[in-house]
Amino acid sequence: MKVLVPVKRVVDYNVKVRVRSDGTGVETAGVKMSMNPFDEIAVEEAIRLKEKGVVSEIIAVSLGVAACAETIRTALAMGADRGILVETDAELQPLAVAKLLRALAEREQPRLMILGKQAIDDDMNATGQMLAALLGWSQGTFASKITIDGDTATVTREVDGGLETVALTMPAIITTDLRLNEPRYASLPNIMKARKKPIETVRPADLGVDPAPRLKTLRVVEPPKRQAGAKVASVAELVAKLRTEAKVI
Amino acid sequence: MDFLLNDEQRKLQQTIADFARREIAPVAESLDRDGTFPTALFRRVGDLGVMALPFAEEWGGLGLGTFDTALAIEEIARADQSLAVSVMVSIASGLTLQRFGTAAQKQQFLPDIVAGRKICAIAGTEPDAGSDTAGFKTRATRTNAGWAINGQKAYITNGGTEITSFALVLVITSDRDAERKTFSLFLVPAGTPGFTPGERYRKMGWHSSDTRPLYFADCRLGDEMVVGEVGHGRHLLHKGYQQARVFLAASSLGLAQACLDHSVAYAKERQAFGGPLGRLQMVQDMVARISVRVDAARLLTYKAAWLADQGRATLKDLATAKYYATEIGSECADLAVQVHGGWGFMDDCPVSRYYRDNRICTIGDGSSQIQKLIIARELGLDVRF
Repeated sequence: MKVLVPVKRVVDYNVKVRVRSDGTGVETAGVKMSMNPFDEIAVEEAIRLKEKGVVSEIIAVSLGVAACAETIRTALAMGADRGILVETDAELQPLAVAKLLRALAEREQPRLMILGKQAIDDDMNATGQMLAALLGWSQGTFASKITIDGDTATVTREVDGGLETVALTMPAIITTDLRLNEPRYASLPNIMKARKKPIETVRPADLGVDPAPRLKTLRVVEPPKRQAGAKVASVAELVAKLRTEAKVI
Repeated sequence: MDFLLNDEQRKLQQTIADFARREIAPVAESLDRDGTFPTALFRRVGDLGVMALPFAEEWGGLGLGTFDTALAIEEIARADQSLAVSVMVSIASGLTLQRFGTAAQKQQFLPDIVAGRKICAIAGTEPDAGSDTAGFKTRATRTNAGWAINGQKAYITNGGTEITSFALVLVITSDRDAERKTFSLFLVPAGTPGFTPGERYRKMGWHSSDTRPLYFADCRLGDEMVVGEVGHGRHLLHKGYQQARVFLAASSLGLAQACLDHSVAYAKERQAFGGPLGRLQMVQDMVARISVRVDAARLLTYKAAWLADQGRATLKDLATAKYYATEIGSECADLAVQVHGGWGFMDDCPVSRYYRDNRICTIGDGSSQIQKLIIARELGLDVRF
């Protein structure tokens, strides 16, 4: 079984992001970039399925600028077999990504696509769901456990108030939650071997997709600075302030 | 001239840095407190492929050079110099075996070292003699079947861990009445009868690296355990130490970088006199001084490592890097403690550990004084030692 895993290049989770001075987004120049952590979990899960003999080939896909090839290399070093880079300098929004992935899915015919449930840069949490809708595939989002048996993927989902288990008929889209697994480190020998694995580069036009943004970002601002607290002399004063100033009771 | 790492080197560096930050740094303080060699963590470093970096593919290595290995050691030392030294001693000892050992020795012992399943040591220093090898007493005498070693070695890193595979031991093999002592290097497998690692030393730093005396009492070995030629051991050991100098420089460089990381972070975070500490010019001065030293040590260390890979490193290049990087390691740790104030004096504070850990670096593997003698000699001065 072939599985396709999209991996997004995002600002590293350790970086303290700064808003660009013109308010159009966050500063990415000279900032450390890494694979979206949820996508790392997706790659790890695909590798584990391959190690179990369920999956035969793992294709890592990244969409965006040429440097996204580095993110694909990371997936290849972890254990993916080959990569596809959809190269574009355009701003990519979830719908465009879903359409591009649909085109790749039609070309590559995977039985399963594992995605991070969201990317830590824009926190959209939309691509997996849109992709499932566009393809008409079943979907299991926020997966914390995946078992595959024949043509059925059983997915335990982390939902508000507990765990929900769904059985998906393949082909299927699964998005990963934090507790699905703990991704491995790419070992140094595997990093070196990954350089020899193929990465194909295609452009959105080759896939017949117009990636132009449909959403317009009006303004990006820093969160407001936390205000200094105040001391109260008594419980009565506290209650009064909560009622009259904070207006929370 | 190009000061940039290539893509592969950046990827190696980043991978090891990530591992060190996530897996080593969080446990470094407790390792320092407990003072036991972290076998499981060391094996994970092996799984990552760090031990394989400079070894030939034949033995499971990656066939990379001194430079790439120094990058790795720097990143590990940035999290825990004590672990970095366990790594570097095993790599340097293994490389000595790879270079001078017999095919059978390599076949039997190298794959485990390269994979990081086991660890090894190199033993020169004795209780009464270090750099002055003429004062050594440990001796191998001829027996019918080979050799018998008697004597002891002191301050040996990796000598008695539960995964110690062997020690390369320098011993006198000339006759007692010979005019000049000559030496040979023996591969002594752990568990050989008559070879006993002593009790772990209590140390100022490097608490979790394994340091012990090694005792030899009628330790019998066959001729097949001689590394290189009989009578040439001192030369072999010196070659091993020369490469280790770059690695020790990298260990101090990583520690100095950690001093900078912590000092900058603390200067931004700690509030004093109505603002962050880093607003005070005297603190800025200390941070800048650490930064300049780190940069200079990095240039010297990388240059020596790069030259070593080109086969062009002179003794002076190696001595300069070792001397400077280890000295500034201590200076940076001292400044970092000062930046941290009272908190820096506490054992729980990372920079306090750096201060203790780096102290040995200007002593071990040829003290700073020896390095300066080498530099002066290479400059043509009449140096005798």
